[in-house]
Amino acid sequence: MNSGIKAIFTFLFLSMVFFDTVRAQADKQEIEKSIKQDEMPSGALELIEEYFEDYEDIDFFKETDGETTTFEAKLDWQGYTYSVEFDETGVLLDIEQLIDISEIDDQLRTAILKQLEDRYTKFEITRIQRQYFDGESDEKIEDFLEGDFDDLSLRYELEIDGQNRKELGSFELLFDDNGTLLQKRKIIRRSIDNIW
Amino acid sequence: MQYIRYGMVAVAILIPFSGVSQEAEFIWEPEFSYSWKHSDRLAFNSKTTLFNSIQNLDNSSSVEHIETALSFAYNLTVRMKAGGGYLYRLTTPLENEQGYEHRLMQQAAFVSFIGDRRLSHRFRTEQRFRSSSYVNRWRYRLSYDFPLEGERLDPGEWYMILSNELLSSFNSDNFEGENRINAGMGWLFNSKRKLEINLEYRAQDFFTGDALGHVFLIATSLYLNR
Repeated sequence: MNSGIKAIFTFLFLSMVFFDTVRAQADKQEIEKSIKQDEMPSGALELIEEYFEDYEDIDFFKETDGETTTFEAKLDWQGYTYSVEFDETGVLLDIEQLIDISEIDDQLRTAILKQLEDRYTKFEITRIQRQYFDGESDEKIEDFLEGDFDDLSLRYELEIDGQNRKELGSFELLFDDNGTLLQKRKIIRRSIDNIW
Repeated sequence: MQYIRYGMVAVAILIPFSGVSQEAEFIWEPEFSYSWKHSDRLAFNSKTTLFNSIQNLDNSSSVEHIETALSFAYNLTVRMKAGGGYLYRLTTPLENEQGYEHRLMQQAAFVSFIGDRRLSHRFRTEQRFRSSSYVNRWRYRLSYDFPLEGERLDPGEWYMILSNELLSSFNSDNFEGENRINAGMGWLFNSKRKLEINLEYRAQDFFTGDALGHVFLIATSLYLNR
């Protein structure tokens, strides 16, 4: 009995040591972590307070790929969920607003849906984000947050579950505000072998 | 260190059950799983599991059974899959008298993705051809796993997995129920490797009229896939 328990604990201990070795080796990959508010660049916090007054449910994240580090705040404000990304010095990189398909302009929505119908025999849109990525102009940020998109360059990032004869999977599609597809990426989900 | 707190909570939930019966079984279950994709729709899995009695680790009855399984999964949609497989189990392989089981399995699962959090419903039916009897078994399992360090599970990070499974076994003579509650922690080496340590409590022999059976299990599972 005692030797058995020793064997188990030896196994667990060696596993933990091995985990840390692998963890160190994994540092060069893209890593996103939840962080506390005081770990955010101060400029980023000031900008959030300025533009998102009385926000709700805020969370902070840090992402690094070994060379570049970015910071992100996810918050609820005036009925929308926003994702606001900053560089290490607190400069705004982009703002993403979670929206419904019905909130996209009719003409653009029709153009996007037409492309999805042409590409997939079946599809379901699971997530849409309206992106604003010109952080240099305070006036334009205000226009975006107030829903005045006339003079702004916007992008729309759609996540869909889609299938056709060749493909089945989840995809991320990036459109500009003319409905031109800029980028398509297959979302690689981790294996479900542990919950299947 | 947040994940350590989650682990302690899991242990705190399961440990109190250890006092419920003097006849509880304590099991260590090492498992190795290998999966491979044939296409976007079709995937295969092979799995080998040992079931060791912790109370008898120093004698030949420690290995209660060893089993190996081969199964397939067909993606009906991105979130729904159906499949089946075959399992062979050898009981008390180190003893003079051994038993066996041939098991056929059919199953379907529906998975919801909430970011990198996953909620899975799995329904499974089994036909168990044992050396001593034939038994049908129906199972329903609800599983939830989620990253512990941020919204996305990256290589080198911990995740937590919780599940509960209801099982019903029956043949022309008997009907019995079982519940398995499970809390575990996993470590994602990379997209092709992960390791899980799970604590499980099984309450057995519902509806038989006998006293409940109790099994406490620690499972260490290594998952590889390509």
